[in-house]
Amino acid sequence: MRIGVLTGGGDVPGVNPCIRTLAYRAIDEGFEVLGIRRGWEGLLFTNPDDPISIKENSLVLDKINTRAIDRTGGTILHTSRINPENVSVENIPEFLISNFSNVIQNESTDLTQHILKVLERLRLDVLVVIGGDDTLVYADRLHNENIPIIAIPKTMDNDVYGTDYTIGFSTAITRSVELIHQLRTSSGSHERISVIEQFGRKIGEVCLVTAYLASADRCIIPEIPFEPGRLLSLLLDDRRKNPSKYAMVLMSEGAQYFEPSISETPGFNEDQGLPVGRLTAEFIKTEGKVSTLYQHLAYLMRSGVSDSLDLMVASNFANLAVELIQSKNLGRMVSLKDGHYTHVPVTIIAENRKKLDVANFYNPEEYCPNIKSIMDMPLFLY
Amino acid sequence: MANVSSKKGVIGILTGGGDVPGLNPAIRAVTIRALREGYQVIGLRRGWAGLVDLIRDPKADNSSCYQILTEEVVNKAGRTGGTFLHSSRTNPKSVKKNSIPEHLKDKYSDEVNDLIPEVLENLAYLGIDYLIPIGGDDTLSVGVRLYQEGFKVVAIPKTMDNDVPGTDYCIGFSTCITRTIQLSNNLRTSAGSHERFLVLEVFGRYAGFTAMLPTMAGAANRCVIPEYKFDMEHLTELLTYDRNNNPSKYSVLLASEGAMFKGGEMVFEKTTTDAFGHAKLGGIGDLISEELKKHSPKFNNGRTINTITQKLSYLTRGGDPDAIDSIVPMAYGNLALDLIMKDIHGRLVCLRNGRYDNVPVDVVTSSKKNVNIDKYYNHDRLRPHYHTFAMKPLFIMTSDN
Repeated sequence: MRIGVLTGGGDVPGVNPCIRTLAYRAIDEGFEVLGIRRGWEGLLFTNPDDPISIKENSLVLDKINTRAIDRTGGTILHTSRINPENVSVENIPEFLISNFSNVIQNESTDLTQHILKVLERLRLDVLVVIGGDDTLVYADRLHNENIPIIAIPKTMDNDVYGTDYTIGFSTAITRSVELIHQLRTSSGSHERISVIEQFGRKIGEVCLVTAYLASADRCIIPEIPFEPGRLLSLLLDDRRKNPSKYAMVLMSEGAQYFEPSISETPGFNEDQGLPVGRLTAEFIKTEGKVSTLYQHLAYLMRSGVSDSLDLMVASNFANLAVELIQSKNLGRMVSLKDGHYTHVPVTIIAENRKKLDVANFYNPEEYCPNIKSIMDMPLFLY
Repeated sequence: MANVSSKKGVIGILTGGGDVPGLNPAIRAVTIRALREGYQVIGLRRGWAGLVDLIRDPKADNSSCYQILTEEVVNKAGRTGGTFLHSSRTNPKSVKKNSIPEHLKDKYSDEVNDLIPEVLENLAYLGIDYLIPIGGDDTLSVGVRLYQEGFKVVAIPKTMDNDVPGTDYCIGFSTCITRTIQLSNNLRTSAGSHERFLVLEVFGRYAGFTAMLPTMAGAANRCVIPEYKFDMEHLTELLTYDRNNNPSKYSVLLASEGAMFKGGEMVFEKTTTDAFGHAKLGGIGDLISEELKKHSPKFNNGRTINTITQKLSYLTRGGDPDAIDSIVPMAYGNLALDLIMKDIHGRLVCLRNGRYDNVPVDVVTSSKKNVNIDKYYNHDRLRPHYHTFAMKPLFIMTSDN
């Protein structure tokens, strides 16, 4: 049995430990493991007729070259955001331009036929795809082309439909909590209102859980549009009550203004070029006449090594993936459901979007987490 | 009249300007030594604001303006970052009309007011004999003024930018370098996984030390600093070369917030200025990233190289002090007490060419400090020179000569 593995989308800590466990377990079971480099781009740039190109775009994984990778973040296979269904002209490899000249249009091209050829040439019995929504949706496409797929969900946003947990979520929170606490000395020393922004365009789960665990005074999630004036008065009150005279609000970069209030809010300058946190900090400074600190945590959320929870899930997902391959149970995504490891059809990913249970976990009046009745809840509260 | 009295005298201490790790250890060092030598110590709160806002009335609540320091108070705080006395950018030499405290509004009604007479009266009211301001050049410029007015001042330099003239070292600089190296190294896996340029922007105002030293320590391949206007195409070529020679296919740039393109000016993201008249800097990292993407195909067989841009901002001065910012504040605090005990004042404690020393405090206002680019910055390679280390002091390029 020959297993291919690739990693796509944004890097998160936990992916390397997952690759390592997968390689070790598979090799122990007598399988071969071929790492595909740079996500789908590695397959796209493989010329089946050119052995050098195969070597450049893949890497045989063994117990030596994966031995110590679990101690690092990122992915040794590297990654990309390329989707072979939708390739822009700039990203079409030179050797393909002549082959596909008849189908290449100005906008983008579906090069799936080429991918299928490459997979056949690489003699893979199964392809393990580690990725988020976008990466896995293309895995689903290949599944429909009769390619045997095992999907492993990863993304720090935890927004893959069909699983309660994706690799990288816990470390993103761990890192955020650490960094927020580091900013407290600055906030307190200057008696400021701190606006801390996080990655997370579509779903506010990271923001909400971080606020809950870091005891941020307020949090603004993309799901609930907010009124800057109301936020300001809450924060001024938080600051007054704090013996160190500071307050903190955590904002998803996807936070939305509650539209009707915008035009009525004096001093509010909506500028599309600036991040929402930066704008909000300016607003707080001008309207609240209070000094502010603005920090975007951005890439630092997924930097560094994996925390223990991500090590746990990454290792277990990898083991479960090999078990599925052994039992020829393919076309599945490994998953966590209600606190238990399981697997679901890979087609589930494209069926729906994952949503945050705002009604149960967020107080839209007070702009803060609202976590109550813990009894019988799973580890991650949902 | 304060409710403290002492045979030897009363020492006032304050922290002004941006907070850095190392301030609390400095307050601790001053306080513990002073108490043991028989002085009493008053901590003035919120930098110069505490001395501006004080109400000279025994019935007034001045708890937001000063507090009596004891060993118990400073011991606990001494291990942490920030400043437990809090800080402000208030400059008593020029206070805007809307920042004048309520009880002084009748007396000072100009658009900009000099409140130094009030500060002097408040110092007398509290019975303070010696003042130890801990701050950067702005905070200390007020110390210089008070000294010129006849008050006994011994100043301690701090700023993560390390741009106070007269000293090799300012409290907070080392932790800033430590943090920058840590954060840069943490982001390497992301940059490598995506095979991108990593563009890190750091605070530093008009001085490039916060970019130069971490680069020298291995945190970046190249750095751009305010003292040298760089050519964008040149920078792209160097970073592409670095990236393509790296087995993990990424390279790292450290950009000072005040760095400038050739022919360009400092990027003023906002035109607002702080109380000291400084324009707020920032935004060069995003600009460089855009330009790198634009120029990269020229040096990379026509393919664009993407970037990861991260402003380290406040994270380089967050958290607890590192080893050097625990040792230097202890030494500076004791140096200040050594001077006070000999009744020497009008001095700035400092490190000069690697040794603890003191200099006249007005050096702070009489010169500017930044990177000597002819000696230390390699204009062709856009990074520090890596040679002639023999007999250089610890921080290599931060001495005055």
